Amino acid sequence: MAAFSLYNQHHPYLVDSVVLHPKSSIIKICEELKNANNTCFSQFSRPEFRQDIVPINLGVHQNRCLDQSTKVSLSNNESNSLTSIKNKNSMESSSVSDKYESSEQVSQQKVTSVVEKKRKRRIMKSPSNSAQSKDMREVKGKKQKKCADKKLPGEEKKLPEEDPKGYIHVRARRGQATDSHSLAERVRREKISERMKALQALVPGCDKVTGKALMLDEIINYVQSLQNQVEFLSMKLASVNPMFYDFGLDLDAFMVRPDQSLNSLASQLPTVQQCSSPTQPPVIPERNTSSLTAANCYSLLESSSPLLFQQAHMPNTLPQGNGQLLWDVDDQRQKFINETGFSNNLCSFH
Amino acid sequence: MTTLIMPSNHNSIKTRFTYRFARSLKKLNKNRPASQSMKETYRRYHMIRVASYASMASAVGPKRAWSRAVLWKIRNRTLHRTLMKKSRIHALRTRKVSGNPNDLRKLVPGGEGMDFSRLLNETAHYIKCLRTQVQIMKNIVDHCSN
Repeated sequence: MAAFSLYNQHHPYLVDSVVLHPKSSIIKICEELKNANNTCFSQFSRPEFRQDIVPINLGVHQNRCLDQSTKVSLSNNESNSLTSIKNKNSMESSSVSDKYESSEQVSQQKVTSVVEKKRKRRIMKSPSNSAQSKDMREVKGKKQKKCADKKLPGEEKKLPEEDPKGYIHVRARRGQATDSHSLAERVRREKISERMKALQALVPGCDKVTGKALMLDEIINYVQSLQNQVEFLSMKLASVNPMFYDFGLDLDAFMVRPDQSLNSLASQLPTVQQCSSPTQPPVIPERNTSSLTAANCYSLLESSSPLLFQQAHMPNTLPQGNGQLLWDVDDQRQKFINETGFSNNLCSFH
Repeated sequence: MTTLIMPSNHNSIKTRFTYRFARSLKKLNKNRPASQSMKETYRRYHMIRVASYASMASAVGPKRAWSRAVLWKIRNRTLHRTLMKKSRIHALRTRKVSGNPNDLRKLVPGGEGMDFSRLLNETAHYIKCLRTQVQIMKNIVDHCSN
């Protein structure tokens, strides 16, 4: 109810300003208000001023404003440039004012949350004030009274000093604690739960589990199994006869999954040829008559774009007999890439 | 079907990992020609594992905490070898089902000193990279064993 009274006190001031000043002064005030963003009162005052000047904005802010019908009619008197849109809006806003009683609770809550936000900011600025905030009710009432008092004398003066810069924007809902420790804790918990959700999407089978502990357990198991897989695979690689190692380094074949690799090699062939190798002899692709469609080619071209890009920018100058050059590859990556592109082409033909 | 088609960032990590890993495999082969003894295979297994982790970490780059930790551990592994082995075995044996975040800290490299939300962030990235690593290594094994 305090919020409501605040609003009522706020209202005559606005009406007075609209009535007393000509339209140019209204524009000036509106610009001042625009400059002071994110202030606690601009939520209420700005839409109303704007609505006088830009009638199309009306529909957006209708739910917030208590006295829209009166305002609209007032601006009806003032400005001659009213369109049919505005008339329609005034019709709508009259119906909205009927609805106002149901939405009173909402707006009141909004006011309290705004006030809480302001108080929170004040607390973060000066921690010595946090002793005040222990009794929520009392402080809230005090604050609102203070706001209502301060509002009438100097609205424009008060607005710019509350510009929140350099603070994390936190808003406490109704009934939540607002001292700085619990605010920080709430932010931390939100962050954790958000990241938990991201992890839940990553780990298979984790979305069926409820509870943080079980989810963590799933994640731990998954990471462990992945690490075990790496160990197992490196064991396998170690036990493989190293003579098989001199792969022609068709790195693309490693990067796509084995079930796709045939397809992709066949369909990559034309694109690789046309961008990288004018020196290579033209080859008749046998395999891709069945599998190559336009969409397929496009998606694979996207997925293998880095290789194609590198190949397109480096002329393929290595002659064909350089297969044994693979063995003294030092850290020159460009040569390496060239060779891979080259042997890539070779590999896809047999 | 584990990996998604991601934006070019992820693709480039994949490409870089593949290059580095293949290169280090080749170096390993050059230094150490085939020998069938069990001990030699075990040594090779260790070196390949280290090479895969190192190439993944260097493919990711130093901007992630876990990759920094992996590289640091690998660089100083002569100092920490015995210690790491012991703690690892201990951790694997004594783990029970309890969603203790400290277990996750032990698993994710460099996770000991993080706060929890950062740890989760790093874990997500680490899981993605491990998946890529496993997939590429699988492909290489398939290729070699044919």
